[in-house]
Amino acid sequence: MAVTGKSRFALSTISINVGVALLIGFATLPLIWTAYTSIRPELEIIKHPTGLMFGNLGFDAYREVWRYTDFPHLLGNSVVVSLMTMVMSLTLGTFAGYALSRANFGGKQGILLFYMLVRVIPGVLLLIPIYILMQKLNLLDTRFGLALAYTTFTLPAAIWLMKGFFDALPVDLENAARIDGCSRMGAMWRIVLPLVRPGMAATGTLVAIEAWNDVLFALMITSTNEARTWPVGMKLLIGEFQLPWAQLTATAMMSVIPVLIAFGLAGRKMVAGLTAGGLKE
Amino acid sequence: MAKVGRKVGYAERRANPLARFLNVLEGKAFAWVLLIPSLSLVSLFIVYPLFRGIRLSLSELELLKGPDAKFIGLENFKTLLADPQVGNAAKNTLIYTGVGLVTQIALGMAAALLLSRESKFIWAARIAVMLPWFMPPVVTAYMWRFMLDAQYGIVTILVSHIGIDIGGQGIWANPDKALYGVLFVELWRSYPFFTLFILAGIQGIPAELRESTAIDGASSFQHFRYVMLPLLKPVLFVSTILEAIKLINSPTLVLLMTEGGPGDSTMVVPLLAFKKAYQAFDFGYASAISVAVLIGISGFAMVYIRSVGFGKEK
Repeated sequence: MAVTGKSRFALSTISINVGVALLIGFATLPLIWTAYTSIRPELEIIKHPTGLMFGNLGFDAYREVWRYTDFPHLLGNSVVVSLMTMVMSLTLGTFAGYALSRANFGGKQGILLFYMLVRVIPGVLLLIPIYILMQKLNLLDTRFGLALAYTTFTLPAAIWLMKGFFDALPVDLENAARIDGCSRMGAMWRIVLPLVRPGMAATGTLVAIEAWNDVLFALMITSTNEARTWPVGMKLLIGEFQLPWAQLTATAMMSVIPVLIAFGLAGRKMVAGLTAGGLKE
Repeated sequence: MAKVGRKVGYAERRANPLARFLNVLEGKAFAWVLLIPSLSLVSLFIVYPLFRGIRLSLSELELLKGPDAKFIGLENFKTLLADPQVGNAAKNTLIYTGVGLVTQIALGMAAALLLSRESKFIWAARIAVMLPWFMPPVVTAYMWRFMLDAQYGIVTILVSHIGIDIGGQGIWANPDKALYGVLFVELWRSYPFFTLFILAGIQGIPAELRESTAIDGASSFQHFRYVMLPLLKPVLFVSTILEAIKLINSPTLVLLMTEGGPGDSTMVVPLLAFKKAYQAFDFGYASAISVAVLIGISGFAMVYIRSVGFGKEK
């Protein structure tokens, strides 16, 4: 795109910059407005919906949600479920991704295609049988059961991503290590894994965000506060009590902050990995 | 890999039994050991439920009537074909998927072109634009329901200043507009998916190509239409089919924003199945609706792959 400026219909640098600014505004302004609403007094929100007044802002709504609802407990559940999902999905995804990247065997293409195709199955079709299965395994309404379901659903993506990151590493490194007397397992553990760590961080973050965000399976599999995660809690809070706007937006901000932090830390690598994996097929 | 001979180091041989066992495995066996955990988990929680779901679709199982499933053949599907609720939901799903795809591809393409020029802080802009795609659907849904609220929503108020009147009842209570309200929010959160793919595709096109078409006197638009677009075809193909599947399959956003209402005006097929299962506990019929969705998607995918002729040209 080096010479775009010269041709007749080319966009000028200024109009490109304006366009990019508009895109950034479209993406971030709703969040900024939500954050602003969450620290406004409820009366102000209703009296002056569009008012920009920075007088008596405060974190009252946050305090109220934190003290008088179960939301903190539900956030805790979500943290536990997301971490469990991340560990399991990343471990299994790394193993499988490594095998699919390095080994050559009949059926490899078939397995890769299989992991593509399972994503086509409607989640709603699987919901009911999984509910029945969880009941049989005594995993209904447990955090581990939820994490197992999320692990399964994030695995195909984790495997594809990890395969992509392994593909990007030269095989010669491992061959050299193996000639020097390293076992296959040793070569993977000592040579490859340390190099692929940024990719693992990106994959793990993506998987954790998926588990953190899901509402559909949590709605079906959990029934009490024992294992309920925050998205279900937020849906129920709003359904039952018609939350005041300030509290609603405060709840939203509390649950979105971990996503923002994770995204800020690993976003660049995540975006790179996603496109690389998707483009290869 | 198989060419490299196996040489086990001393340290390895003295290591724990598990490591010793794994070292014995070579080549194919090693690969299978790494693959089996994930394959078995996916089999247990996706493949087995899939077949169980298909069997349920041929059965009568209503939890409110009793816990036992009774085989009834294609009865559920006969009911389904005559069910006006299903017909209405199918129509809404078609609109949702069609309008969703067109708007998302258009905005996604424009954004990718804008973001494709390299500069110092462009990566920050790219990340910011991707943000909505990673947002929790619950937050996205309630945030926009608030901002498009009839009385207090900032967007409702701001667009009324430039002459667009959403009407006193607001967008969510209006049966003619509610679906497009959800589609707007779907656009907001999903178009970055296309931007992501198209941007990666653009970055794979050598910059020298533009230089040579410029020398030949091609305008930017001609370059885009006759050089870039054909090269982006595979990327567009993959991302369109993935997003179409998501739009057809996922009831999440509609569930959170309107629950299918007002009336049945935003009821889409997967949400109907979800409600039959979750509220009516009619597991057999809900499964039949989901199986119909799966058949629909497979049919769509086959027709789409044929019509695009993907794989033939290469």
